[in-house]
Amino acid sequence: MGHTILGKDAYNVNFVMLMILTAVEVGAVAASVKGAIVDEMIILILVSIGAIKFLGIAFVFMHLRMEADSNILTLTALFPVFFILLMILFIAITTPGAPDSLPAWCRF
Amino acid sequence: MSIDLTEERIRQIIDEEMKEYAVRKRTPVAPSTHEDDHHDDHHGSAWGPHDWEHGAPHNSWAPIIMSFGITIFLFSFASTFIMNDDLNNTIFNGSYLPMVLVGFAVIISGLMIWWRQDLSFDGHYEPKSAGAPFQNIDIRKVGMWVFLMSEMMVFSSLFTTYIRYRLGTESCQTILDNHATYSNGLPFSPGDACWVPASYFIAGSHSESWTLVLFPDTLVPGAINTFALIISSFTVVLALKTAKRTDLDPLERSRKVRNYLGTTLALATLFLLLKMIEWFIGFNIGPFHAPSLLSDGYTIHNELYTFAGAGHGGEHIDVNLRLSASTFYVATGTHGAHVFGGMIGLSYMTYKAHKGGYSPNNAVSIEYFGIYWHFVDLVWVLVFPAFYLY
Repeated sequence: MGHTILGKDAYNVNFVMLMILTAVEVGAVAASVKGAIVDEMIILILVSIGAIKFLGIAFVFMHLRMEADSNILTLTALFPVFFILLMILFIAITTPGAPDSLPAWCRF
Repeated sequence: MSIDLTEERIRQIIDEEMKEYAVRKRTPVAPSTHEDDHHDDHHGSAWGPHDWEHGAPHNSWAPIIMSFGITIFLFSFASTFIMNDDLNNTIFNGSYLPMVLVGFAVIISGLMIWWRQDLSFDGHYEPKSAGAPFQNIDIRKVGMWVFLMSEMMVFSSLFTTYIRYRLGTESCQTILDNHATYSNGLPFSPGDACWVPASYFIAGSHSESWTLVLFPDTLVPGAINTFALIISSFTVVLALKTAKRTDLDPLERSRKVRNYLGTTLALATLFLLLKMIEWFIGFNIGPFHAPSLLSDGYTIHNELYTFAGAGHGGEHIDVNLRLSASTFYVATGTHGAHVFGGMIGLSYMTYKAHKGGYSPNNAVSIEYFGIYWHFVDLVWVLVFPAFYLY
């Protein structure tokens, strides 16, 4: 307890940030439905905001930073990432058209 | 024999006794011999409250009973709803219902035993992990993170399934744009599978009502749910911070912790209620009008949904929704089941807080529950844009 971000209580700052980012997320989708934002841009916005919110919750609320045991617990949390990357790899190579559409730098 | 007990000497004796008592309470007792175990009745029963004054608990029947109950419940629940011979609808098989209830009752019994034992826990004898690489970290904290590792794998499987199907299945909108033709030039036949994301019904061109101008009414439950989960994560943090405060009167502290946990429970209930409304009921409140996904036809059995898409007037194609709907309901339903599990835990913790069970020396249970709850929030942070917005 007693952790701060920019001199303010870390939990309060994180909470406000999450609320604002969620509002931006919903607003961006509304703009996209009305045609004000193109599809590629909305994907970029959603992925970026999702990643920031993910890190905010993991690091601040779940104490994966700022605590004595944060490092080892972060490594524990990251352990499944190996398997997740493996799954994504298989998604990539089993997606229809993937063998024909690989960029040149991927080929032997 | 006369004993000279001055007031100062009495105070000194009391102080020494209190210090010794405090040390004794915070120091685990040495492991007892087998002979002691047979004659030691201080550890309480494996069914009921532990006698924390005399050492750490050794045993509990709760985990094995709960595992047994979950097994009965899941096997019988899976047999209660079965597919028909044509594999296009679900049949309710009531003969397994008694076993569902038995499984549920066994789970509740296990929970009651666990909570009965935990209710007396006052923060002493928190066991530490001894094995590498987690030395000296509370073993319950390590256990929670190992549990969350397995949870990450569950949700990763669901997400990769979603990504795989989303990338590998042609969008119905694209097929409609090509006038019922796949991108490779082959004609689309009615009943073929293509991808209609849930966002088409929730935040897309299908949305029937736009009371708020900014976004469609059908997005209201999902948007409120997102804010509700984030606020509930914060109220858990506030409960933990309050439980650790030493400057508060114990009664006031307990009342505040109970209120924060109760608020978290209320927000979790709101989340599941809105999800039910979104899936099954729909809402028609004042200016807000949103049909349910069920009444819109977004079901796992719908093999001939009339997809009109956007920008094609009366043109439409009849598409098979089973793939996209199943992916949506399994992912968001699994998340909802985790919220429900959290609600069960929160109900007990709110009761324990009401009974004054949390103090600055005994707040870690809230922290460990909080880690789980934040994880549930974290998954929603990914589910919401992936399934509801895009």
